[in-house]
Amino acid sequence: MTYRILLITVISMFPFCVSAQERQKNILFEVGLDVIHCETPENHYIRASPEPYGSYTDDFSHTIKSQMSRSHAAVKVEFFPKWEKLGFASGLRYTYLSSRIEKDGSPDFFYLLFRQTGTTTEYLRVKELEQRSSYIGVPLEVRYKPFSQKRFNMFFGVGADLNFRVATKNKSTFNDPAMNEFEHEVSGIVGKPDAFYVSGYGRAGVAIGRENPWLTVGLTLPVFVPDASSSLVKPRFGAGFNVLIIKPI
Amino acid sequence: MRYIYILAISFVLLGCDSDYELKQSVFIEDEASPGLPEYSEWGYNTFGAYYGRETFVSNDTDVPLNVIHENDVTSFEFNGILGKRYYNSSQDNAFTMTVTYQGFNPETFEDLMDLHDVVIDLKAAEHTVVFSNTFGSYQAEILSGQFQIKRAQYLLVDKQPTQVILSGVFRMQAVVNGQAITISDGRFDIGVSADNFFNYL
Repeated sequence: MTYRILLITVISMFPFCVSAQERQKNILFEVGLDVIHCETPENHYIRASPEPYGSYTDDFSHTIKSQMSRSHAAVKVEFFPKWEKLGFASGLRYTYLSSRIEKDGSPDFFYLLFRQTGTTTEYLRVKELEQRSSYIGVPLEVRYKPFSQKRFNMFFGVGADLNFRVATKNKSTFNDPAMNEFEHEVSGIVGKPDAFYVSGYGRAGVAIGRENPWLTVGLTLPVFVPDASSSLVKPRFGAGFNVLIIKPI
Repeated sequence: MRYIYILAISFVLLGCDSDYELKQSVFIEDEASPGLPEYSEWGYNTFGAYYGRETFVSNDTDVPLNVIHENDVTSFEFNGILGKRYYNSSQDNAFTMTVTYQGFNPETFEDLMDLHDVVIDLKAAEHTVVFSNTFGSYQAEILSGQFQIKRAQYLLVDKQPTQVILSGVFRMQAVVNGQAITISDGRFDIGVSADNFFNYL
């Protein structure tokens, strides 16, 4: 944990340590939301469901819906070296990541393998499993502004964020509320994501402001999030949007 | 008042069928044995074996296993199809394998837990295997073979007893209707409850 705090501090201080020869520095306040397309892995604790029309299946996951969304807030410092069209940004970022699985179709629950004791096996009827994680991380971004001196200017960017998990909570919705007393045990079965993950993205948007843009609105596409970010689903790729308020330093 | 009765009966009937999925089949093909279901212990209500070079497998319409107890004999009646597996069982390829186990006397489906880790030597004279199709029934002359219940599980769902899951493997070499045949790579994973357990008193 001490190592992570030290790493975050060193990387986020990077923009402040750049040579004074840079032309401009901005402080950025960012919020954003991403929606990630994902698949349900073949979890060893979920019983497969029958195909609606009885055909062959080697992939039970079509009956389980999976979703992932990610929202974040960040404070960044952006600086422009001698070439003013290219900016580099880094800072601190808080990410809230939510992944969820639920049954598709009727009945609206799936069977979770709860316990095996000797020759006795227990299933629980579960409607939904959700995993919510919080991360503190460091964003690293490069932005290119091909045009300037206009009220609305396009920009393009690529970036990555290094994320360190600080908290995770697993939530279960049971078909029978009397089973709520076993939520903690089910949480242990679901497990937790890895302590660290790196994701990447591309971004394009519009910067508003003629000489010193004060606001940008961007579309984030694509967003790549690794399997390490969730023990419940397999993220693939996604898209999102973000809003940045810019203050010159 | 009549509508209240109808509604009440409807709710009762719906509640009785809350584990409908546990009675259905989940056929996940075994990549190592094409045409056969994977060996599993989830109670997926499937079975399969190679009957010579053809597949003898469960389907989605027939109850895959009936367990019948009568006069000191318990019979395991596997109902499926011989040949390609289709969604709807065709009368032309309906096929049944009945394995009888002498000296085992369950009174309820829960007593099937005594079959945990039991191996039945099919060559023993007191146990028989009968194959049936639309043309008739044929008792096999067993040359060698075993029927093994690797695991019996007493299944609780939301803490309520529901069924006994029997999972295992089988193989045999036999003469059936004058023809030598090998039944290989047999596997089954089936839930037994009051619906498919029969006790003739």
